Amino acid sequence: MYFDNAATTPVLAEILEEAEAYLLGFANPSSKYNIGQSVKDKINQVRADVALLIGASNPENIIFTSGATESNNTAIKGFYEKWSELNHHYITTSVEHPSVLKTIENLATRGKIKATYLPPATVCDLEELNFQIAKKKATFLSVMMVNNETGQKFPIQEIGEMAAQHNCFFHVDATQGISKVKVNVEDLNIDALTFSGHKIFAPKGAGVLYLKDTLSIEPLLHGGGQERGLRCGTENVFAILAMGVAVRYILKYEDKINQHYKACKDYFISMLNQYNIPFHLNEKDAVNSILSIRFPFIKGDALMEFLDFKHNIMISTGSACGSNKKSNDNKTVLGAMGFSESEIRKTVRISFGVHTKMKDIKLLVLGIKNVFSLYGQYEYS
Amino acid sequence: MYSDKIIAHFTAPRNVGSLDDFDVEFELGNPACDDRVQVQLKLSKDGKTVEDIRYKAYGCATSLATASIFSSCIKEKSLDEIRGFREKYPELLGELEPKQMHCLDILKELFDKTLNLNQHVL
Repeated sequence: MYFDNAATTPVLAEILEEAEAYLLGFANPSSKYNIGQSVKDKINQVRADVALLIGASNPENIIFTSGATESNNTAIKGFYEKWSELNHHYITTSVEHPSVLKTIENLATRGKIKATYLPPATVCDLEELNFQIAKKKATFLSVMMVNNETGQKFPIQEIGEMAAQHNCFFHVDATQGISKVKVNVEDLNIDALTFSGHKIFAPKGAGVLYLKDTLSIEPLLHGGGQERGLRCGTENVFAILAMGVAVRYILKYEDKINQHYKACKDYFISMLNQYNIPFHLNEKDAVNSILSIRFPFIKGDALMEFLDFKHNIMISTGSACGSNKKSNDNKTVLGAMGFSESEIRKTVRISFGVHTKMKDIKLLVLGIKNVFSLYGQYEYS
Repeated sequence: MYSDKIIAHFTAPRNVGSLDDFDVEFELGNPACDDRVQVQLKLSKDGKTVEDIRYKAYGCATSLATASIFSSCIKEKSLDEIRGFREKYPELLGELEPKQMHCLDILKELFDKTLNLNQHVL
C-alpha cells in the first residue's frame, strides 16, 4: 500500500494502454517524413493540453524538459545568463525543493547573484515580503506553489501581483500544485512555471517549463534547435506523450481528484480519532493530499520502518529528493517552520493519490494503531 | 539495512509494558537522539535472579529492538547468567550499520544498571 504520492505517483492505467503504441511510434520528431511529423504533431498536442491546464494562451510558451529539476535550473540559471549585466538579487523561500535552493545557492556562491532565503512565515506576510523585494531590489522571486513536505499552500496570486508591481521575474515551482490547485499562469502573473510528469501520474522523464516570454532566459542546452532552441536534444517522446495522457486526465477529472483527496484526508483523520491515536498535524493550511503529521509515541523513521516491515505500507519521513543529500539535513523544511528537533524526529509525511483506496487508509490506521499498542505506553512529553 | 534479529524484535517486541509489583526501576537514554528506555524488574526473594521484566521505550527502530533483546536476555536469569550476557553484549544485536552503533551503548548501560542493582532497589 502506497502513501508516498508526493515523492512520485503510480502511472495511470490509461498510459499503460497507450504505452506500446507510443514506443512503436519511434520516429524522431525532427524528421521531415510523415511518421516523424506525426510524432511531432502528437507532442504539440500535449503542448496545447499543458497550456490549457495551466491557463497559458499560447502553447508555444510551453517547453518540455526532462523534469522539474531541469526546468527549475533552466529558469533560475537561464534568467541570470540572459541578463548577466544586471545586479541580481534573487529572493526565494527557505523551504523550496533542492533543485531551486541549490541552484540559487550555486549562482550566489560563485558571486553571480545575491540571494535571500526567507522563512515561509515571512513569505506569507505580504507586507514584509513587499518590503524585502523593494529593499533588495529583487530581480528574481521564486516561490513554490505547494510545499513538498508539508503541503503548505503559498499565496501565489498575491505574490504574483506584488512581483509584477516591482517588475521582478516571478518563478513558481508548481510540482506539488498541479492537480491539487487550479492554475492560471496569466491570472497569477507568473513569468516561469515548472513541474514534473511523474508527480501527476505519468512516468519519469518529462517535465514542463512555461515561460511568459520565451526571450526572458538563455537556454542551458544548445544543439539541434528542439523546443524552439530553448531546450535542445531529441525529445523524450514516450515520456512527453504519456504526460499528455495524464494532463488530459487531470483536465477531465480535476474536481473529482480533489474531492477524492479531501475524502482520503477526512477519513484518515476520523479513523485516527476513532481509535484514540494521538497525533498533531504540522500544517493546517495544506493541500488535502499531503499530510505532515507527527505521533508523540514514536519517531518518524521508526514508524515508517515498522509499517514497511510489518504491514508493507509505504510512507516517508520527508522529501525523497532530500534523502540523497550528503548531510543529514533533510528536515530543514520543518526546521525553517520553527519546529523543534524532537517534533521533527516524530514527523512523517503521508501523501494520497488518485489510486488511494479507503480500505487501504483503514489498514494504514490499523498499522499505526498496532505501533501505538506496542510503543504507546512510554510516558512521552 | 536491518538484520533479521533487529526487525523481528522491533516489529514484535517482547516484555513491553509495566509490572504491578516490582523491586527495581531505572531509566536511561541518549539525550542527543531522544532514545529512552524505562525498565522495571521483579527479583527473586534472594535478589539473585530477575524473575520478570517490563519496559517502555521510545526511539529509533534499533534502540526499540535493543530494549526487547535485552529483556529477553535477562528474564528469568540469574545475575551470574546476566553477567555472561554482559561480557558478550557486542554480539547480542547482530550485525549493525554505523548509524545503529549507538545502540550498543544503550545495551551496555542496560546491563550495567541491571547488574548494579543495589543502586536501584526501591
